[in-house]
Amino acid sequence: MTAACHPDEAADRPVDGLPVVALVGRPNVGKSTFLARASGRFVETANAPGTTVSLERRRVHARGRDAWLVDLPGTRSLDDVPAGDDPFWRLLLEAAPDAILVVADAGDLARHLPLAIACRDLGLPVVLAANLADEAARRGIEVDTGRLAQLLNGPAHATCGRAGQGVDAAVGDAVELAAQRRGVLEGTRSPRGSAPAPIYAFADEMELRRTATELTAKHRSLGAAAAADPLADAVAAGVISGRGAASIRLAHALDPKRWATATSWAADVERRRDAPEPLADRAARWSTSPWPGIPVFLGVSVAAFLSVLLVGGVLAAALAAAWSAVVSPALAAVVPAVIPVPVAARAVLWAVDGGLLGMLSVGVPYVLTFYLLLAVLEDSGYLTSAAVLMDRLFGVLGLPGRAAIPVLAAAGCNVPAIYGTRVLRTRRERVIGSFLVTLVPCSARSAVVIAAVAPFAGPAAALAAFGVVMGVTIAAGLGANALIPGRQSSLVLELAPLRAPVPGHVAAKAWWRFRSFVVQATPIMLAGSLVLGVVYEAGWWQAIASAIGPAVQWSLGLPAIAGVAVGFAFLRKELALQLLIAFAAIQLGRATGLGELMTPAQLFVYAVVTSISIPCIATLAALRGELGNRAAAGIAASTLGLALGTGALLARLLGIA
Amino acid sequence: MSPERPASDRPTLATLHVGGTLRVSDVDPAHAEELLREGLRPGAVVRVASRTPLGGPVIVVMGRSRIALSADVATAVRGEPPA
Repeated sequence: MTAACHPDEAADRPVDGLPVVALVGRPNVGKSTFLARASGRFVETANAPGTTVSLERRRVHARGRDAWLVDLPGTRSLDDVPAGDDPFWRLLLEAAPDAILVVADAGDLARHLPLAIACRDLGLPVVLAANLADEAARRGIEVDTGRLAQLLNGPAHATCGRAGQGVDAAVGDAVELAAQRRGVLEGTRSPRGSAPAPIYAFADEMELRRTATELTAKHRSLGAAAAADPLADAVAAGVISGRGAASIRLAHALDPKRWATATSWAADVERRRDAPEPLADRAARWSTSPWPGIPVFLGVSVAAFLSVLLVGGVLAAALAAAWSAVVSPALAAVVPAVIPVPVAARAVLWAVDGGLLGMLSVGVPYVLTFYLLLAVLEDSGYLTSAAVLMDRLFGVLGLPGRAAIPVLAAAGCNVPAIYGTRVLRTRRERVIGSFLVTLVPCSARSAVVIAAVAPFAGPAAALAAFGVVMGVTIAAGLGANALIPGRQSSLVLELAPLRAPVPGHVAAKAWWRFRSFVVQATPIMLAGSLVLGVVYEAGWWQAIASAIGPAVQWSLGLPAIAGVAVGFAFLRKELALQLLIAFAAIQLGRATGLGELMTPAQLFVYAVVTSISIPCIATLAALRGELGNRAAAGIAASTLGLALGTGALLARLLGIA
Repeated sequence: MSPERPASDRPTLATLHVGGTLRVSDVDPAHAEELLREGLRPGAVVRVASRTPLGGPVIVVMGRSRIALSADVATAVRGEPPA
């Protein structure tokens, strides 16, 4: 729950008493670029379903005054739920604005003015920025901002956030009006200005008045605790007028009239001339048509996968080389000097040397590269088009098309892909999506499959191993779709127009996500490596091997140490083969190769089981953080069951068990 | 518009051919609130821009915006060809 539930916090104005301007607009209207232009900085905040939305407040200076500019998530109406659990109006009242700056699409006013009219109905000063004026002009649309200002009873500006045109003027007007309202509230100014022309029918006006009186009286008659009505609270706290609160309560009845009014206002202020269809619009149309949309989507997916793999691979190798040349020798010298017990020192080295290197060589190259790519695809508007095109294909797995990107991204690393499932709307979709993500072999597991199978059983066998894993993933998706209650959600989605990505915005988005990945994954990687180091250096793995040996032999037809290696690969998947070789060398008393240890058929089973079984510890932590303990445990147990079941079946088919 | 024509005879956004235009006459109340947020309400004029494979979402154009509607939602929007 956000602070808006409590009347005293609803009026939680900044202590400095500066006027507050709220930035409101529909999604895809370029609001974040507008804000960046107004305040000189890009920002990215996570707004996932089921989380509390944090509001970004920026201090701006305009027309000789300081003020706060509060960014709000893109919304389609005041009672829409654009992010988190709360309707938009609660977020807006929480910000306690003194004026509202509505960012609208100059080329599509009929669809953007209803929100501006709803804001005007709140009784707060409203400034309209007819943004994307450049795009509108390319489509042959000019806006008569003078006439629009008359209709709206507030200043209107043609703006272009990307170029900065008109932004200062719009923000300046909003700050000035906000300061005036603040002055009136504090008694240093007398109210002035005219009421806007009425647009509602007599019956609606009467209902507004009746509801306003009711909301205003509620606190007086019942007291704050008994009123238990956030709208009445906001009125009592002076955040909005009684009529403003009533216009929120009656949104359902008023919205159709707002849309009708917006349509006629738009016709009144738009000056149209013929213009050829811009290339961006044609490309947008193609992106959702089966031809050439599907080939383009496949091309983009393969290119994305390959570039993450290639760029990530090069960066990972470079970082690993630099690490072992500079950091490893230093750590190897320092740690034993600080920790006098040799076994403990070696275990700690596993953590700080191996663990940090693992973090560095997976995190920076693969995760950051993927986040940058994802941000480019998102910011260009292509992602939603591709998602819609693939919607039905993913529908058989119980997922909307939006899931395509995280599922593909999982082939690089599961961890960012699980955070990537935030693009899914319902919990059901997020659980299924995360489940499939954990089944997709990440780059570390792919490397294990290739290295274990290809040299001993040939490349075709390695491909077959991937085929088995993919078949299991698809079967698991079909199963999860059938077993997890609920159905695919209906889709009503406005598609973002295609635009050149804004570098600052892309960088801010990728950086924000990368930072949260590093913060969450680093401690887990360190702890996992430490545990692995202790078990290895203390020789405990041998006891474990003799305990589980018979079961592993019977079910999977594998040697006991292979079972231990699969188990401990939970801590570091990319070490699944090195661990196996190390265990074998200790057991046999001499160095050995994989081919000597297991038959090609056994290696095949080992690779498939390692790839499917329990996600690595960093993935598990991501699952826990995103979905909670129960879902994370359920997903982990399901993957383990699938791995053992598939392994046992393969072992029997291949005649090794 | 011919009001006497039974509602079930009128085309929906799910049945209209690609490139076809519709003036919305009625919207299934189950989806009305969600559709109104995109401006899809009685009186609005929309064009079917494309369809996606396997009965996936229909892309409609209103003004300059493209809106994707899953099949169940597209069926909920009925109308007449504009005069």
